[in-house]
Amino acid sequence: MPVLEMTGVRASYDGVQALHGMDLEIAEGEMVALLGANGAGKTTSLRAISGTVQVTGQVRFAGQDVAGWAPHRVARLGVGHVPEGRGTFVDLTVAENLTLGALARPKALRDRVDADLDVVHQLFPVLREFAARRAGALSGGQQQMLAIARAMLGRPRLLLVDEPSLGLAPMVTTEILRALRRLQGEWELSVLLAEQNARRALKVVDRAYVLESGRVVASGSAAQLQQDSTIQDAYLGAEIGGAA
Amino acid sequence: MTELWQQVLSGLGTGFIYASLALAISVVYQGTGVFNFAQGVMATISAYLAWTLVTHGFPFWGALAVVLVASFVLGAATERVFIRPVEGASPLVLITVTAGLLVGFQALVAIIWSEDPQRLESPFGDGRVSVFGAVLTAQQLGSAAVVLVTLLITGAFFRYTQLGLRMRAAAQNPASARLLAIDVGRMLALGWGLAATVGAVAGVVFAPTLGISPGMMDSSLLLALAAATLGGFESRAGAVLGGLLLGVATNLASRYAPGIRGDLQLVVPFAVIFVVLLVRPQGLFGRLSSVRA
Amino acid sequence: MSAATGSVRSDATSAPATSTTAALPPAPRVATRTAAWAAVLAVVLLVAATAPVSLISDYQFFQLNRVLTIAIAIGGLNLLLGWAGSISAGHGALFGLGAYATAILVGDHGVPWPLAVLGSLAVGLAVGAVLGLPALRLGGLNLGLVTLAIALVLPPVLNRLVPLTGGAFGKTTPEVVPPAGLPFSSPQWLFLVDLTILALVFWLLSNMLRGRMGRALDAAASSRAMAAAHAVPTNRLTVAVFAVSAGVAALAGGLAHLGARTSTPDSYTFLFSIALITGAVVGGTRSFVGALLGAAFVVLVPELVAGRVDPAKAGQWQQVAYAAALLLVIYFFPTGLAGLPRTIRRLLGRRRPGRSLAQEAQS
Repeated sequence: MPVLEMTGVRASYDGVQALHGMDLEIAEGEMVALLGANGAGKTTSLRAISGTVQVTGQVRFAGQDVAGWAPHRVARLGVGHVPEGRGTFVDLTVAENLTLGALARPKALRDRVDADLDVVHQLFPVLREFAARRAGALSGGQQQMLAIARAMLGRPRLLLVDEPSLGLAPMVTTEILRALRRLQGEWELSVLLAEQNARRALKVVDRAYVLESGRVVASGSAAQLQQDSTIQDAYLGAEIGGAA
Repeated sequence: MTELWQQVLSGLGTGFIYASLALAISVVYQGTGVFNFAQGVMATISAYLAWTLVTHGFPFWGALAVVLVASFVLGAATERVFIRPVEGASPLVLITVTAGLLVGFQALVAIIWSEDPQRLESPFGDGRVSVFGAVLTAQQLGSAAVVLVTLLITGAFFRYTQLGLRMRAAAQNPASARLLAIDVGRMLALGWGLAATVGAVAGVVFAPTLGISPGMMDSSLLLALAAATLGGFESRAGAVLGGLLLGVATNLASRYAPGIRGDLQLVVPFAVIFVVLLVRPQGLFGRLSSVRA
Repeated sequence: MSAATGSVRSDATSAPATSTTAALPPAPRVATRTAAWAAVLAVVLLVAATAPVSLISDYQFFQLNRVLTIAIAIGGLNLLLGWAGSISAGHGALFGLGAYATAILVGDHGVPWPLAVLGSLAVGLAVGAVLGLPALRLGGLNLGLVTLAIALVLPPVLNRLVPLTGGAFGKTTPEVVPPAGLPFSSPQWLFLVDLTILALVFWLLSNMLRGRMGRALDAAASSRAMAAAHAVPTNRLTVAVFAVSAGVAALAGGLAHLGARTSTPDSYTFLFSIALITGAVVGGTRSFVGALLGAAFVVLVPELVAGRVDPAKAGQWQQVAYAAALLLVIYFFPTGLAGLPRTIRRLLGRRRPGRSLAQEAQS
């Protein structure tokens, strides 16, 4: 059974529709990318899952239809969301930001916080080094690491990550995506990664969906999509060609 | 010199009223984004509740304990009933609502308990204590001590408890807090409840000094607003320090500046914040916030 | 008047308007409105002038005068609440300042009342500018704090400055005498004066708001950052608007004193400021008709409450009524009484899906 299943999901902001019937599926332990240009509906898809935008249609997570739920209830059920803009609590310390993540985890996993924190610190040593610093004082890349680490410490079953590469140097992006992939494997969670940079995303994910104008126009395994020149030209061409 | 010291200390004493109300105001401000004009009258309600219990034979401290719980409930309920319907509205709307609450609550207090002033006996007796040459009443010293402890506990709550951390997170970045499974609405209600409780401590413990009347907190509220502005609304510690500072400044001015007495003392805090804000618009301890989208 | 209106309207509809006039659709409506105001004023003046005393008693004229003067003050307050997006908790005090200015000028210096009322206006403008200047540095909420300070400081100051203000007993001036030869009682005459000034003030204010200033204010209220990006000098604008608003409130206070003849410090407490805010919100903060409705509310509620409760607690119940009305209007009719017709029309329109879609697309 898939951990997440979206069927015919529509969403709109102030009367302007952003999703026109999204269908999407993620299996347990799978890492999937949402690709597409700016405004294709990637962010809105993630927000439709975490309950931060009004939707119609079905969003089944772990067997329950969570469409229309309040965001904190969806989160409690096991959906982590690294939002656009990273959602840093700028006036709290780095350590406090991480604690907030750990507080979001299910009760059964509470006694594993310290061990998990160690893992996260090994992955992103800078977060240990700057633990007592105001999170707002971190660089963009460091805040992105913090955001991912914070969401991960909630031990979600499904992690939504919105454009982690935005505004970051390629080196940093690669480092972050690799770390994400590693933790995903170790902690056996599912990841839905929204990325504009298709080439980079396809390197780390299992499968991907390509969005245009609020619906899925193509999907397949990472390998297939990397090879399919028609799709690349039609939807991802500029990205992949340009970056290469 | 002793005279000055005496004035400073007793100013500090009243400063604790402003400090605790300012703390309450800043807690609400951080969560809700406006200052709560009704914070003072909510403390007045607490004082009347305590007075009612004491006149029915409750011991002072027992009454205080009951009132703190009741005030918490009242504060949280106020948020749920009156603020929730306009959550996310412009500050102008929110502030108008709290002004409406002030007027309504104050009138209800007068209707329920009448406008005749009431007296509450000091739980500290009427002894006097000498502090390095200055003489303070036991009431002055005791009330200041109780409020100080309250402020420290509140500070520790925000700083060291998980719930306090969640409340700070919800206040600072509600959208992000929701993604971390925090029920922001509940945190707001808790914040209002907590603020009402802190205000209640001040209202009840200082009631023997202030006397109990529907308007007992009017000037304290104003000084507390001034204190919160002075300290920077974003900073709880700043609000507390601002309150203490204004307590001392007001007391000194009424002693040494001719003509500034009684109700005209109100001029002092505004003179102080005027000057401070012209130099530092973000307050003494606040950070300049960037424009929020 | 009506002929002029007609010609403006036909201009706008028949001639294929240039792009600039097309972008400013309110223009013809404004002319209509001005004409309508003038017509209403003329009719009321005529009726009032010929109405026998038995029809509308002097006391009722006295009350009507209170409604009119408070309406003027609310019209000024609306500049802040409805357009500039800031609040004043001190307009009751500014109103009181105007009242005392007129009282002192007329009572102690023998200044003719029309000049004294202008003096109130000048005092209000000056005080508004002086108070607005620090607000320039402090921004929206702090303006509220500064005005709150005036609201709370004015009554004790009035009590203290006995030689100037008469202390707690206040100031009383002689009745305003209508010009010789006119068959009016003093309240009737003042009614005509107040009504004329109200029309004049509202006409000036709406002209001001319709021009560049109104658009700049709208931009500034919706987003300071946006307004700054479009080079709207938000701070200077706020000071100017605050000064005008304060001047209007003081002018209204001067007129109100002429009607009441006595001003005491406790007429102008913080509660009166809140009453003005309540009137503004209840009537609708972006409407001059709303200002009148709100003023009627402010004056009539105490009357309605007074007969129904224990007289000793009438004042309190009156406050409860203000508070309840304020909250209910905010929760259920955010555009106030003046916005009700439109709200109802929209609710009715929503039943028809085609129309509601069109409206959504427009907005």
